[in-house]
Amino acid sequence: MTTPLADALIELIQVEINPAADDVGPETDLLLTGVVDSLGVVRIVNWIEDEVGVEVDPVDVTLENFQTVSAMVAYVDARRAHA
Amino acid sequence: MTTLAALVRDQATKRPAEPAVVCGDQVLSWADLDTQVAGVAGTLRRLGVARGDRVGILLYKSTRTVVAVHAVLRCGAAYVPLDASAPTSAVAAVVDDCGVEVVITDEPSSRHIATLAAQAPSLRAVLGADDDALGASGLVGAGWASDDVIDEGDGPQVDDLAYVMYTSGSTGRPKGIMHTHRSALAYATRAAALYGLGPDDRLGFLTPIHFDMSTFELFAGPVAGACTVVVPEPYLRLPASLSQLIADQAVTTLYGVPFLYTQLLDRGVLTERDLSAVRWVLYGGEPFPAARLAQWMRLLPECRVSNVYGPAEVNQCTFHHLDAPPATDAVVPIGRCWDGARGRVVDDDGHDCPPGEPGELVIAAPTMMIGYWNRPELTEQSIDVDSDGRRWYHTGDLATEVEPGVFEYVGRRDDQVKVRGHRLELGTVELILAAADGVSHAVAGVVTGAEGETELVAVYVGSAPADELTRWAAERLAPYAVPRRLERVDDLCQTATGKVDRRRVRHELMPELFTHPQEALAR
Repeated sequence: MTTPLADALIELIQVEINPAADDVGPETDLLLTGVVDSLGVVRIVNWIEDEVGVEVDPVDVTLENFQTVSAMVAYVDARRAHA
Repeated sequence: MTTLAALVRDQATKRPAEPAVVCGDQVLSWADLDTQVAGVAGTLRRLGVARGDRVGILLYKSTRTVVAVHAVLRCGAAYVPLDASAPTSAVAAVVDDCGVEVVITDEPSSRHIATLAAQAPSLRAVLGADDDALGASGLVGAGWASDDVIDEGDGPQVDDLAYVMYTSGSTGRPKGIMHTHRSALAYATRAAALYGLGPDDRLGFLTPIHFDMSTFELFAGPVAGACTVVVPEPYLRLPASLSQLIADQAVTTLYGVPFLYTQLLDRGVLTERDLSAVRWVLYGGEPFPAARLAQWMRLLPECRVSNVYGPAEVNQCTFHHLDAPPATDAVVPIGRCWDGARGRVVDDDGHDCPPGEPGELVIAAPTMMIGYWNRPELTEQSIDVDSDGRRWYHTGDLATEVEPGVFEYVGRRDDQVKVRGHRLELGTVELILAAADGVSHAVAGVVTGAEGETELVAVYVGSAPADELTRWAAERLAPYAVPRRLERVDDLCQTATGKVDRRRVRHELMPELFTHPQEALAR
């Protein structure tokens, strides 16, 4: 099951960031195979800040929080809970 | 003379318990590494690998990557690094060209092994793939863990091939750069001496093994008994995690492309990290924008910084140590040739250019390749032999001799470009794009952002939508060779003879069409 946020992130990745990527799911490792590269990560961070309205501390842009769409969703949820 | 195959064994005798390779929580001592190398080498022998064979390595980075390289060498075979993130067809082209029969992989890296087998008929056995990945491919399989131990009776000789590293060729066919134990060891011993590597060093292993910079950690590390800290691919895309790894692992030496260091500056939260263990930062592959380099040097004032230069064909051959942060508009020289290497700047007729005049840089060095795999005509075009029997490699790079023995890089002679340190031929990218349905002409080029970052882009004429064309390219080219942005145009300017005027497209149209993604992001 996916959440609306997960679906939106997957769409962002497949449409905007890497049109060549297919089969991106919530648990796909985005960073190992380079589906998302370093500039792609920056675009995701900007999108989360602009579209979701959650501020992302640069210290948090790590493997734990950005390796998969699920990790990103968990991170955003945690930030919201803190706000 | 010793060979690369002896390096790990020698260190296992000298310092068995000291760390040789670290990846995350995993630490292999020299004795562990030696045992694993002997085991995998034994398994390769059982699979029929003999001296002189070429063995492919298809692995994302881990301790296994280091084990695999040294195991292949211990068999007397040459390793052929394969890009695990590249499309299967690109990997198959290398396997096929080099006549690779056996590939070493592991579960995360072997998703496409059955497709690879279908596209590369020479492949007959795989070490490390699980049964699901092998499927009905008919390949012989073997595991990483086994009781095999190699009988070292038939190890390599110093002039045997050690590795064949592929780079894009101008015709679209990849070319394999052949290095022997002699040339690789010449490089590793000089590098270890020049940068003062020792058993206390911890080398940050940044680059993938299909990239020539990797031979620094793979071989200069074992020459010096230094520990290699493996940096897995995901860290290269997350500067905040990379800086954490460098700090946690007390990395002392880094060798990477400028793009990686500017990423660390911009997003590596370096002020939060203790990088005091880092003593020497080497960069190469492309120029480091001077303002960014100065920023880096001010942030790490105790750390030495060197610009190193050398195409994969010669390993490193020149170096320039920076004494102080450069002025904003300074050109940092690629420096002087190191021990045993000689450089000249020549004109089209092969005559030496006067000092200060640009010409092609040609290099003679003991660290030089013996030639391109199965391409005698290309080898002959690239290497001149002088009357003393000395071999000079034509780098294709334009340089000037700014003071005796000191060179400055000017640009390229042909349409080869460097994008984040990856070398590629624009012609190859254009051939692939133009082969797509609904594309009549395509021109690839590189645009440079405000801070000197480079980005591969392309324009094309035709009806194909840009996203479909990107997908087409991504199925056929390595990720770094896929244009990051594609623009459809109605027409391309032409030369007087009616050919597409690539020069004008690249120098006038492209800068106009493409603002740098960094700037676009900042909007």
